[in-house]
Amino acid sequence: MTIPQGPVVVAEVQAQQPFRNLDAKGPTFVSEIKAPVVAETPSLDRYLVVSPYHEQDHLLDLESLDVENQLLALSLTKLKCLRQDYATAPYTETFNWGEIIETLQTLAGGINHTWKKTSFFVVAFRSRIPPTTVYAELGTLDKAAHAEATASGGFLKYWFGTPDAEGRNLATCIWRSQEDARKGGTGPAHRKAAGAARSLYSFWKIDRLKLTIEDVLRNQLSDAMVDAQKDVPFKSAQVESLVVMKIVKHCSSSFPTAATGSLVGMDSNGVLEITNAFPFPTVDASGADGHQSDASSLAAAAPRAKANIAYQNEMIRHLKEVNVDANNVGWYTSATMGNFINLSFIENQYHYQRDNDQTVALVHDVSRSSQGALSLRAFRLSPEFMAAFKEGKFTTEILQKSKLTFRDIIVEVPVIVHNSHLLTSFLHQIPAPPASAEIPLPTSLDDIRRGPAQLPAHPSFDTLDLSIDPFLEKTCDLLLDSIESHYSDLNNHQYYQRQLTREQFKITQWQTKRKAENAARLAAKQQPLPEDEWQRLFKLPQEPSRLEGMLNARQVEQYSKQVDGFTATITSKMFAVRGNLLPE
Amino acid sequence: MAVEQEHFVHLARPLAPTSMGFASSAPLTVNVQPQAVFSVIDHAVRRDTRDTQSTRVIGALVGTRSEDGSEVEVRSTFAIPHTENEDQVEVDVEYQKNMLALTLKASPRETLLGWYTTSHELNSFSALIQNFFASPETGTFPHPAVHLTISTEPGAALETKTYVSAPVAVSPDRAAESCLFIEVPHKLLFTDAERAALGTASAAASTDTRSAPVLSDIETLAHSLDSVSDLLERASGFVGEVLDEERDGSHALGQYLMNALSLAPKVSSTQIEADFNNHVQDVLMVSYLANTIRTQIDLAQRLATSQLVGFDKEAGDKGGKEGGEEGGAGREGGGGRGGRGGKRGGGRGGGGRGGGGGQRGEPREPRENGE
Repeated sequence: MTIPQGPVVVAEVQAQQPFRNLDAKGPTFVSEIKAPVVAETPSLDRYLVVSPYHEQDHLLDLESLDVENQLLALSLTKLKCLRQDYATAPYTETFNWGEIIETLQTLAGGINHTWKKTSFFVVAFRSRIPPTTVYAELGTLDKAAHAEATASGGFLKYWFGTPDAEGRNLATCIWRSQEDARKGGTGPAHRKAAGAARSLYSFWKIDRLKLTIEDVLRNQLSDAMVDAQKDVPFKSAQVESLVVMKIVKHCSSSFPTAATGSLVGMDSNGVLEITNAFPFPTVDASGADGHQSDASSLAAAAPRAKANIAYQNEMIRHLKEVNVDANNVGWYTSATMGNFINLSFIENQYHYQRDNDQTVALVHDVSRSSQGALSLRAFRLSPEFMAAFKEGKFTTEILQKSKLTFRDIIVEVPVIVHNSHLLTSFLHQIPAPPASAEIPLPTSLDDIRRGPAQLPAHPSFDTLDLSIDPFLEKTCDLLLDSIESHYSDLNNHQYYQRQLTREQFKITQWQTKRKAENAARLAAKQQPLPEDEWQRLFKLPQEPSRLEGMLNARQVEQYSKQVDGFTATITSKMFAVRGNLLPE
Repeated sequence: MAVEQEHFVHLARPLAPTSMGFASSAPLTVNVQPQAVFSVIDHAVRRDTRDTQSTRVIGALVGTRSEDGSEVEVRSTFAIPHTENEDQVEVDVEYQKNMLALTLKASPRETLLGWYTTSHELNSFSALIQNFFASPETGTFPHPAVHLTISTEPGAALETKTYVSAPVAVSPDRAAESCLFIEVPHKLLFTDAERAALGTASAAASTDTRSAPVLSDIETLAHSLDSVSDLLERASGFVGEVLDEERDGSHALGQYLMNALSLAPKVSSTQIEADFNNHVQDVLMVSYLANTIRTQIDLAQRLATSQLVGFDKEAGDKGGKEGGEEGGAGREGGGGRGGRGGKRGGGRGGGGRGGGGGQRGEPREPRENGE
């Protein structure tokens, strides 16, 4: 993707003043930067200050670079932040790219250098630190990592702002290439800083961008991670078979207790690629003398448990070392007959989606999958609901205003299963296909029995099973449970209504009394008593949250759709059976 | 379901260290779960080609072991960074230790079983790593360490092999880098739960894009029916050809088909008709009631949050909004009761009284009968 931000301006400059004629009338800084580019440089000018740090360790050695990079590094000394809200503003609008390119033109013109198209790698690190973090501590880590990056080479510019009132900040590095950036990030100091980031920052996000400066000196900031920039929600979730298998294994082995785990991957071009998964540690509930429900409620809350967040970070760091995509993209959970829509689910997903919008909750329905067809669905919370949940208020009045209904709570994302090439070739081998199209005929019945035909996994014949009753029965049970909870929700509200009426009645009584009193006082020529004292004397009851009811409604909708699905398959099967046994 | 990879004659258990009294002579069998193979393949695809000359990657096998140690089940794996060149091999031991701890924390019943690599080649580095994984401090001792190799040669079939090792050396100082690998039988083991997942993965494998959406139940059913009818077609085609004397028949196949056909139950048509109607009606009734309940609750939700006017008088002259709210809740009560009524009716098998839902559902009737 190309952001036509800078180039437009630059292109105009280009048109008015031919590039080669720039040097004579160039601004004053021409002389100051001319020296380093020329081969015989005084040793002091060999090193360029590229960051707020001025120690020798942090200076860029210009001789280690080719001309294009030298020029850009020199131009980047002019890098200035244009906006106050740099921590949240779009990257291309944050800096004075136009001026930098102009400088670059001047510089290149000054040494009569013909610019070759070159791409640079830009890293933008957006972060937020909690007030508890000592900024100086970060500074030390940062300095060490910086020195290391400079030593590894290709580190052209480093800029960082100061945290704003909310602790948000932006830091950016410009590298010769992505290769350099990767090399610079492998040293121990960088790792230490990255490790610290997890504990010191409350939020961080790394955008990787590409800065392309073409021969006509048109600069383009092309975005390597398109959607991370624009917050466009992904349209589908692409799940690797590996992840599917891992989730299925974990969920079925811990059935009927809910199993949860974390997903890693990355999003690109509106598709959220989920490339690996790992389970969360099972919570040991046996120590706490509780009953059964404890274990499952603990398991359900696992994704937001403190210990598990640490575990997840640790695991992702380890996975990163073996080239697994090291971004958390959500979590997975197991379910039984679609009974997953509850407060715990919402809270987990909120916990993930609050930090990073590109996250998803994968739900694997163990019971339904045992019926033959894999049931793996992806959900995320709708932006409207995110906003409402942040407020935490679900009173009738607010719901009326926001028009939020139970249908808007979660959004389902289509799931696509994807295989790598190697895996595709493996899958074609199980079960191994017969060596030739014509296999020798069996000689006896025992031959057939001994070596039954290996059926391919797809399409599966398990779906042809006729017994549906257990599933329907279970769904009916769950529906009854939902009705129960609907009823109790209703009772709460009715209780609230009664309380409210009673209080209001009392208030009205008090007000009439006060009015009468005041009328009497007025007749007796006395000062009237204030009439709004009731606000202090009476307290209106708090309206219970409507959230439970909404979730319940969404859950019931889910069940009834599920029953519809069952009905569709079972009736077709039944008709097939009848057609078979009763030929027309 | 197990997929035998090949037929195997297992003569004797190799000479593994048996000092702890695990001297059973039972042959070792390795069961590999598909997700373990999937992880290995994923790791092979993601291997780091930058600063190592090796074409293979290594990792650890984690899983369970039967009580007598004669059968192991590989349940998961994790990758270990390593570099290898002509004269030395480096394995990140620290990483292996941490990762093992992390993995075992999530699944405490599993243990370290051995290691895998992605080439069939066994060399002195393999022996070195094998000895590391079998050693008492860092490995699987007293049980033998299992070594799984998967060939990832381009253009060739993926083959898996499993080995255990016995110590062997020409001189004591070479003992660390030599061992005797002995191949043991293994099979790929699927549990029922994994079948469905594997089905979807295979569906994806047979498309050009290597990806496939997760299908709904009814679509899966359609695919299955298609393939069943294909198979029936083939069987009847074969029988037809035999009858037309175009090809030789097979007694065994004929017998098998006869047996299969004779399994069709002999029941009276009225009985079938009655059973069929009962069952279908039951299913439709559940569906109908579920939808009724959904409508009721939907209605309740809507009423609870809708602006209702006309109740202001009851709620007094103050706070029209509160009045509306109260009215909403009042209606909601009605809706909820109706829903429960409907459910209770269903329990009795009648389903006649579904409150307001009964009328709501009426337009559905003709459609259901028409099916």
